[in-house]
Amino acid sequence: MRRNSIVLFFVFVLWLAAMVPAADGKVYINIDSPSAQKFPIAITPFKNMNNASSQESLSPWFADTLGKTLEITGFFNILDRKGFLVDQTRLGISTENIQFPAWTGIGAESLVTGGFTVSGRDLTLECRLFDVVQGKLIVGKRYTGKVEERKEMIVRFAQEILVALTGEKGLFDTKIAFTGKRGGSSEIHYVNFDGTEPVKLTNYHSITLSPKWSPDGKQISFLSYKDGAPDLHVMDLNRRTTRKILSTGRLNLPATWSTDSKRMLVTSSKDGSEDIYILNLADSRMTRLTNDPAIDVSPTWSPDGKQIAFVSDRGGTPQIYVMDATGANVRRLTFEGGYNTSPAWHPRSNRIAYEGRAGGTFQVMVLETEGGTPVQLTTNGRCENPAWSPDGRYIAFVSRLGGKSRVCVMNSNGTNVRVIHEGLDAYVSPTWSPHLNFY
Amino acid sequence: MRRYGILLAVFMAFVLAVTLTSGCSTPKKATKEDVTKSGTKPGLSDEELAKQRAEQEARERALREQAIRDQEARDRAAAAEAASLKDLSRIYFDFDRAELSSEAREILGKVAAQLKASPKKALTIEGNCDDRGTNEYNLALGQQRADAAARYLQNLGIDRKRIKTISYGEERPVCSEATEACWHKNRNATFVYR
Repeated sequence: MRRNSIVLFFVFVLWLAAMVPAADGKVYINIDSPSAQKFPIAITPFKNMNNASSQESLSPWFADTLGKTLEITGFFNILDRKGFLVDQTRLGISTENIQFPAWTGIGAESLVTGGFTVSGRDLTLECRLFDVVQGKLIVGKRYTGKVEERKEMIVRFAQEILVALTGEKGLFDTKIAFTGKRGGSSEIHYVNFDGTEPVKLTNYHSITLSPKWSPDGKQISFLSYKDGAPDLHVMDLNRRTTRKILSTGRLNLPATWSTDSKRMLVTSSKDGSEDIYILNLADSRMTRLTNDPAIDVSPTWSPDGKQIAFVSDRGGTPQIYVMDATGANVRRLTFEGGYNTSPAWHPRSNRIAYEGRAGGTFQVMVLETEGGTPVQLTTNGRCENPAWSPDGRYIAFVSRLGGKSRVCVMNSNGTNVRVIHEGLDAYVSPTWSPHLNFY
Repeated sequence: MRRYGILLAVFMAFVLAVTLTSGCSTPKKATKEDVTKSGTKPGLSDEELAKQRAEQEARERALREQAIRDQEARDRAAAAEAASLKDLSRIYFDFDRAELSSEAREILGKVAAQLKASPKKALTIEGNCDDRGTNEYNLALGQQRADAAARYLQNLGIDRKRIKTISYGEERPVCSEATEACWHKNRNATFVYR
């Protein structure tokens, strides 16, 4: 995705002595525990190894940037450096130089130390993560590159920390696409997980909606009226070329891609009412899954591809239904509230996020596909169009509050709500990319 | 533009009429013209001349104002006519419904009559929704609204090939206030003749 990551020379040096693989047993942060506390971590200013006086400011910059990066995940409590008990000017950065009780004493469970060497424009960065309770190194890495690549190095080490403590590298290499409206038209935009690098992807001055990112990360499908009718298009993200994949003169809406990125669930009214089809991209063959005079729309595949959740108003109001992937065995899932739409199947479990009517407005809910009581995740304003992150630990959604519309991300338990895009008239339909490996 | 054109024409006609009739029926006018041209004709004081000029200007002003009033009346009539036609250009729906009300059916009856009267006309029916609820579901609902109107026209004997339907969901609102009045306006099927 990002070209400069190719020129970036990263040398990964594993300190053999204390490399602990993530699979080694200890789970430091259980993300899926509903009662998960934020993990207390101390980050020391990074040590200026060759005392290059012109680079003094980098010392706190590295610590602050790593702290901010980790904070975005919502899993960490970054301890204030003012409370540190050790003399920060005389810090040792390797195991034998660290007074672990001084860190457990301020409530830290982990400690990050770092050191850097600048020579001309070349930068060497060493980072270490310690378990201060057990008094041992968890992971250490050395990165070499250019000074201007220091942000990438920090994000890479943040990913190492996440792998070591949570078992997965986090979502820094993912993007979120969405529809942004301004004036009378709407366009597709995307932005990084941390809200940086916004890009306007289309410029059709038309109505362009419902972006869906392909699991191979290379394409985005969407609906656009750019040629007059609501047709389906697929954009190749590398070449920035677009091809029309379905045009029937009537409504066509894209939905989830199959895991091999070769097929797509779509809603089409080509045969009369709005029904759900599988569209085979190679030969444009369509297989009809529902056949009901009511509206059937917004299908989403289960992670194993064996079931499909969708919205139907066949019962009189829009509700979420589940059926087998063949279209058989349709059963109603939601019963509470008169308007439940926008289902998104969790990528790893039988949970469905959706938007439901609650207290005169709409909120993001989560419900087990076996049934049960819906859990309301949002409470402020109107929250809609939930989209899971590829690891299922976050939900992107659209928030409307005080007359303003924003694209937000929250942790899957509803905490840590962050705005990732605002400023346009309105937003709809966020869709999360897979890992794009640009870090 | 046209309005100014008409104003100008009315004014020109007035000037022409005054010019044509001034020679025989309004001697004062002739006198005045003489005076203004040569400035030498005796018998009228400056005060009288000024009074005559003021009267003349007042007459012209009155005519201009009358022309404006006439034009405004014509505009109002045209707007009323457009409004009565506009009533035939849309039907409205209840929240989350695509069923036709008795009022909608009555309008569709008139639309069918119009289409029968002009067999060369074709119709596009645009289905629209208010912005409550979900954008994708509303695209489907807009299609259902347009289709309901199209089916009704077909039942009244209009060839289905003359009717195209398109849904804009909640993407083309007529208004944007969060009031029932505005939501009602946005839940419609709009008729566009081709």
